[in-house]
Amino acid sequence: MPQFIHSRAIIIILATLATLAILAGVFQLGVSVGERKSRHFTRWFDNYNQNMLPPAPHRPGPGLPPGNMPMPMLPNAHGVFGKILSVSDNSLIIQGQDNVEQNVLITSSTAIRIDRRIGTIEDLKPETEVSVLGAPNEQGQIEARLIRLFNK
Amino acid sequence: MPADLGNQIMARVKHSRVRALYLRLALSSAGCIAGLAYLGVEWRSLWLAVNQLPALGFLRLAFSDPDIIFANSQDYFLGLIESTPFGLIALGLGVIFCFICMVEFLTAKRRVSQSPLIIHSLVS
Repeated sequence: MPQFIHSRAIIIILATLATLAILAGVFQLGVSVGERKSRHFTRWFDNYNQNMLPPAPHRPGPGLPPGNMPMPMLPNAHGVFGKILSVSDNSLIIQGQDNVEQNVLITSSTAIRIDRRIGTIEDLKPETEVSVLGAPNEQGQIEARLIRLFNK
Repeated sequence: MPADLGNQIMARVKHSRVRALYLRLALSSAGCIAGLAYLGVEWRSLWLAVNQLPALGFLRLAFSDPDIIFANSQDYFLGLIESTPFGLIALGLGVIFCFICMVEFLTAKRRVSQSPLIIHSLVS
C-alpha cells in the first residue's frame, strides 16, 4: 500500500486532479465575475435614461438615448474611478475612465473620505476626481460603500 | 562491430539533440516575435488601457482605506478581478516566457555544439 501511494502513477494522478481542480475553480470564478458584470451592464443599459437624464415629461424609453451614441464597453460593477458630472440628493453621476457614465447611489452606510478626514456629500462637487467602491443594485446603479476624494 | 561505432552513436545523439534544440529555439523565437509584433501593432491601445486601468484605482484604495476595504472585501475582490486585464498580463508573461526560453536554448545550443560527446566506456 505505501508503495502504491508513493508510486509515480499516483503522483501523476494527484497532480492532474489538483491541476484540473484549480483550472475549474479559476474558470468558474471567471464565469461568475463575467455574469455579474454583464448583469450590471443590462440593468445599466435598461435604466440609462432614468439614472442619467433629468426627469422630463417626454423622457425616452429604456436603453441609450436616441442618436449616434456608440455602444460602450462593459462598465465595472463594483467600482468607478473618474470625475463627478453631477450631484443630486443621494446620487452622483460619474464619468469613468472609459468614458462610461455611472450612477452612484449614496446610502447611510456610504463612507466619504478626503485624505485622512471624513467628508460629507457637500464635499462632492462636479469636476472632482473620485474613486468609488460599491456593489451593483437592481436599477443599474452602484451602491457606494466608499467614496474617496484625492486632493491633488 | 565497426571500430567507430561509439563515435557514430554519439554523433547521432548530438545531431538529434542539436535538432531538438533548434526546433525549441525556433518555437520560442516565433512566440517571442509574435508577442512583440502584437505589442508593436497595438501599443497605442494597450498603453491607453494600462493608463486607464481601474485595477490601479482599486489597488490605490487598498492603501488609502484598508479598514473599509477589509469590511467590504467581497466587493473589493470582485471589483479587482473584473478590472484586472488578464489578457494583457497573459500576453506579457507569454513574451517573457518565450524570451527566457530563447536565451536558455541559445546557451544550451552553444554548450551542446562545443562539448565533445565521448562515452569513455565505448572508447577502448
